Amino acid sequence: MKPTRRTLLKLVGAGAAAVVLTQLDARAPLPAPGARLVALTPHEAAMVEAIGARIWPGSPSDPGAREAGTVRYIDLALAGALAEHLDTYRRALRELDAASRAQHRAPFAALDDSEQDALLGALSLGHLASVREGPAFFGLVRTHTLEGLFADPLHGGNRDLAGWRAVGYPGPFYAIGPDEQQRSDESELPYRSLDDL
Amino acid sequence: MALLPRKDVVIVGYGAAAGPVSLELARAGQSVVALEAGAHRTAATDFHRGSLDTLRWRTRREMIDGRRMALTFRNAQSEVAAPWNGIYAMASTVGGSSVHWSGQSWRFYADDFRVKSALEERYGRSGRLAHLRADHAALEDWPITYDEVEPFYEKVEYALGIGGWPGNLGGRIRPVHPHEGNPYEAPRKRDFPYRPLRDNATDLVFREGALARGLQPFHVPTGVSMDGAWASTEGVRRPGCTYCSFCTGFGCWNDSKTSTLSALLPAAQQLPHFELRPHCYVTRINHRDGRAVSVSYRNENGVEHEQPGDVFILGAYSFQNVRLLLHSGIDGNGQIGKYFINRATTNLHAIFGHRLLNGWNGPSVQRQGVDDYNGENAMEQKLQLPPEQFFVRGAFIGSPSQRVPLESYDLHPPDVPSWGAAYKRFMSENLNRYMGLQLLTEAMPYEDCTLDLDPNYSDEYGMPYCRVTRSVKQNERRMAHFIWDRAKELVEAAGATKVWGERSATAIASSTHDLGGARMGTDPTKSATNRYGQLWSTPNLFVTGGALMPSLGGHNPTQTIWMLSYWLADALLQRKVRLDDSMAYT
Repeated sequence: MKPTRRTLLKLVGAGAAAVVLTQLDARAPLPAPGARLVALTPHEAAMVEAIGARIWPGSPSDPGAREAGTVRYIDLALAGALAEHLDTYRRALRELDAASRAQHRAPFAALDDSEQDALLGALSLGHLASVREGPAFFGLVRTHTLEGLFADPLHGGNRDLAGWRAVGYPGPFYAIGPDEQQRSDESELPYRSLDDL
Repeated sequence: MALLPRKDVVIVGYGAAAGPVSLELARAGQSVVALEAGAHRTAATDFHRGSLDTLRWRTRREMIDGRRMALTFRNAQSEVAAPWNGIYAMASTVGGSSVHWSGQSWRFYADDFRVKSALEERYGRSGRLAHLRADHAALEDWPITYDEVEPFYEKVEYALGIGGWPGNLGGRIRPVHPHEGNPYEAPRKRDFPYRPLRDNATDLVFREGALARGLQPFHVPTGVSMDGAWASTEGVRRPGCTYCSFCTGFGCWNDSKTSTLSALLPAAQQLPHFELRPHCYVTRINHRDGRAVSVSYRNENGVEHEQPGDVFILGAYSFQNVRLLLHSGIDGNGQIGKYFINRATTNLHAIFGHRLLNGWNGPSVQRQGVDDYNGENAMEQKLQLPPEQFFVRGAFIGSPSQRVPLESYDLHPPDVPSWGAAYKRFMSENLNRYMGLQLLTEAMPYEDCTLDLDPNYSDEYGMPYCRVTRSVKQNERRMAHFIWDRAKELVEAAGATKVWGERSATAIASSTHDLGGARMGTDPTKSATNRYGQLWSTPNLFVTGGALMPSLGGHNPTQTIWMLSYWLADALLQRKVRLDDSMAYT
């Protein structure tokens, strides 16, 4: 059984609870400090974030799409470069949420991981009849989540370079030397973003 | 419509194809205007700070103008084509696709220019070419020979700056470095001006595998400066490459990558008779009585202008040159749009479980490769194949870098799910152990592979889209299987622990090597232009660039595109062509 907010409160001392909750409460969106949604509603953003967290799952020791803030990337992009997809998001999220309520009597973002996985699996294969263009929409969210994970943080996602750290990519550099290029040891290079160059 | 002052030479597009000819003609005192649809981006203003951003240039393709990407695609003449937006070439920017090319730079083989004759000589009597005839392959010799154009290849190497180890210097094989250089290259009279880039971990591992298979690996010749000590014959000194991973698909942040923008425009801009006009989108060639009289274009505000001139040169991308000719009512006896050729795609992925490769750690062109299966280099091996597996020509196999995560998230094998914990685990454990090979197949031209105007789609100025009809046939399917199997042997000899990929050949609208459509030739009933790119039907109108090429070759075409542009400039300046008679060249 997954830890819920209630069981966590029981499990940990009251002093540590606040810290643990901000890291582990999988139901609350984690916008960047001070960030406001610009394209999505809070409910839609919570869904997009929940889907991202199943595409690239995370934990406190191994951040995933949620921790990397990919929803922030998607929200900004849907107001800009990817605006043509906003209507698709809006419609498909509404239809997916309706399917979730029909099956589980709960909104999608409130389901547990395995329930979300089952719905997303059906969505990606076109087995959720109530979501028109389900596989196309799933492909879109997956692509945009991974873009938010692996694009430079200046685009709103990849917070703390969590996407790059997960795969061992140190980020952009203007120059690299022969030893660094040819080495085969496993030590990590320092991570940096465009802002650090 | 604003009627502008007449120019001696009007050039449509300012990319690879237009660079040399516009420079040479302006230097000879002719008034030249180059009309480029894109913006004038430079290292100083666009490619420097903040530009090492894969999302911006690769994912969102900022240099490729969606409005100009007017392509539709179908596999067969009987199908209805659908819009196709997967293009990665055709940059709409000053310097064109040479700005964001990979920098792999080659001379074509001597036999590439006589590909039909060479195949007849080797296989004609054995009946081995029956499958090509059955599929209506349209192979033809080029109307030029390697010996004729060799000086112009050399000119490209010294004017634009191409680095490499010589593989064949006047018949001497690997005369400078005994283990480097393409031993199969056509004989060159002169060494490269500088050496290619260094090897990274991916290259070293590829090399190990190639040597273990008894092949002759070499670092590919590159249009990227190795160091800053060398100055081009145009007096341009470019800094050395710093090996950042933002090369193919990007403008170069320090101009170490050669291009029409970085290597030729600086010289052209010194000339009083050269004028570059960005943001000018040519929509029509106006012609009367078999002569071009002007071009119509829209500027960035959509205002129409008319530019008259004496000589007109189409130097845009192949698709655009063909589209413009057809839209202007110039069909060259039905020859415009015929014989379109591009790569049949196939791909091979490998994981080296015991070896860290860090494939992100250099430019794409930092690359080892082998030519042992290219052209007819593997003839003996191919003759051992059963007849139903035999194919002609072959492929270059190479080991590209620039594997940044944003472009690698779909590189997982079919037995790994595409999302979820198992997907994340696979990507985390393997991305830095990944090698994807470049398989540069030489596909054939066919009678039914064409470019024409799409009847259903047009742009905001009423120009129909360019419709691409392209399929793979027996030769491509057999070639892909053979090359894929050889590449698999190579990576396994290098220690690959997992290998997968698409072993079958697939046709796409644009492979970034998109050639033909205005084929050069000797017979006006079977080609669009003469040996200089002069239209048979319209003698003061020329095409230069990939659209002229009768065959695809097993190598990247950009150096040949630059070469053909120098070749055309020479013909015009030496008066080898007459502007009133395209049959009358000397």
